[in-house]
Amino acid sequence: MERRHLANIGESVPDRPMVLMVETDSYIRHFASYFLHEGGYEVNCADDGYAALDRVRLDSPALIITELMLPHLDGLALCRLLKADPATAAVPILVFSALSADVRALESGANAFIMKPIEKIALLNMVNSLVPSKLAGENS
Amino acid sequence: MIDRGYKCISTGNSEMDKILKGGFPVNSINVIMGQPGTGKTIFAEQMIFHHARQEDRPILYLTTLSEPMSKILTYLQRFTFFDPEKVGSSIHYRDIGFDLTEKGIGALNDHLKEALHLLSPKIIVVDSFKALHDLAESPPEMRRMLYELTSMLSAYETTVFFIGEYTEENSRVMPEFAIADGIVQFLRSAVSTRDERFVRVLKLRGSSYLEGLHGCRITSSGVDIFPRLVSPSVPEKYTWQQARINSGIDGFDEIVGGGLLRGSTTLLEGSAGAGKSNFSLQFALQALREGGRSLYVNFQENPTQLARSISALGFNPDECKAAGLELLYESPVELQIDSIIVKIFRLIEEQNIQRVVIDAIGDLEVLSRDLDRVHDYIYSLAQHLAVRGITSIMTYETVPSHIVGSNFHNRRFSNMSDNIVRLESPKAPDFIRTVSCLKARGTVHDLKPHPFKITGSGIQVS
Repeated sequence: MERRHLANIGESVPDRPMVLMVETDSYIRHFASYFLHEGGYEVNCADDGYAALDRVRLDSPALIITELMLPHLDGLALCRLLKADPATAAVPILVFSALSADVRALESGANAFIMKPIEKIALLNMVNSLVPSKLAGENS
Repeated sequence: MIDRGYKCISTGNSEMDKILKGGFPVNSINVIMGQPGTGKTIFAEQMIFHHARQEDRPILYLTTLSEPMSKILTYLQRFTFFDPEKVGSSIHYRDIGFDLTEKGIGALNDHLKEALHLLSPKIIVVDSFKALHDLAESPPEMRRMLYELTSMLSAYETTVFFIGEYTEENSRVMPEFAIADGIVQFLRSAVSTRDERFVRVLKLRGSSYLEGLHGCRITSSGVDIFPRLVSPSVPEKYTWQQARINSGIDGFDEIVGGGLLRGSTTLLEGSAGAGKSNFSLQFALQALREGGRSLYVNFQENPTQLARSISALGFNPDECKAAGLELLYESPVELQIDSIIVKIFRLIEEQNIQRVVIDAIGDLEVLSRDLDRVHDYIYSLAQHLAVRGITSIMTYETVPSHIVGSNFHNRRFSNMSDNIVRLESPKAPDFIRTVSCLKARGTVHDLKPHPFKITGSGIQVS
């Protein structure tokens, strides 16, 4: 195993596409951030739906990844609010959940659904398909 | 069970997959428990080499404080599933015993976290997990480590196996059993001069797995598993068949209303020398005359002795085998009912068998410590044969009526059979043999004893 890769966690690289991860599980946040960073993305995190709404306005993310089961404002409500606001309606949303609720997620405005747990290749393939390729490709 | 994204990974053993109803759930944590020498490590190794051949994601095998890695690999190489090219490329062995003793049990989580980042393993094996208890400074430390480990492993799509020399008492108190999604136990017990091995699933969340003890043995190809036979769910197309078959015994079919019903099971009872083997051999050989195939399972006569019996009936044993007579001989010394039943079903499915003889079911009873288990098996076997439309005879040796003894057990078998036919040995003063039908389900039958003779061409009923 090559230890040098681990040193990259948390290092900020400018001009990479930003992914906002809305997730309460610290290990999911940790591993997803690591793999997304490795895949050429910057990652910011929020741990509930309202915090996510605040961060969207600050960060202008290229993609939002959200769990459905969140405190205060759940993932489905977050999807509906984001899609109802013209300022955020164009931001793609990937629902990443342990709850098998793909139909409800898509009906609420999500662009795609993927089941937990994390599998690196599946996650990166999905994210790459949702983020405009020129951003991810050029800056990774 | 409703499938909501429930995915399984195969054990690499088709029979174990049948028991688990597909395999272990993906992203689960499982305990493989058993005393030393029961086969748990071989089972795990067999599984990981199966997945290594698929060449998708790597596999991580961590050894703690059980055996040195070199020793494990030395013995592993003797199994046919072992492939040296997979070691280091698909399967990554790591000995973390030193780190555990130097840094404490938290070192396991450090190794796993690093592996999840850099290796993305499909399967993780920790052998022995139980050894961590010996290194933990206190039970709370062990619980904290386990909580961290479970949270971390739940985040990533990997399937985990903790192997350990756990006892049943351990399984009631050690915290890994509470968090485990699956628990599989390997057992070994001495029966007379031989050992019997079993495997059983104690827990598998989200699965309607096959309960009970399943026989197994260790061979050069790994752990060979024989799922416990359970009564089949009757398929919709299954209906009681009214077609009759020729028994092959001159003069007998008239006693049972014109022939045995296809798919029926007959208990053929009689004392030693009454003619049971002759009767059942003729029954099996009749299938060949009709262009069919039959299976003769026997535990008493070895292949040479059986060939002599076939010759005595005027048949050439080699020609019979070529024409479709399958002979399955199992030495009574090595009998294990699970393996016999699996072999019978393999032959039935592979050879399109229409008639089956088991000579004698009493042998299974004598050699097993667990009579209920034998009866369950025979009942289930009779049900499986009926569903498949296979006609069968099961012989049972009784105590002669002039000797004081008990024929209690064959009464239990009689409930499971459609027909009961009794052969009486010749007795003074006239030394006449008789055959009588005590029971024939769903058909008229003649209850009277009928004299019969054993001639050069077999049994002839008058």
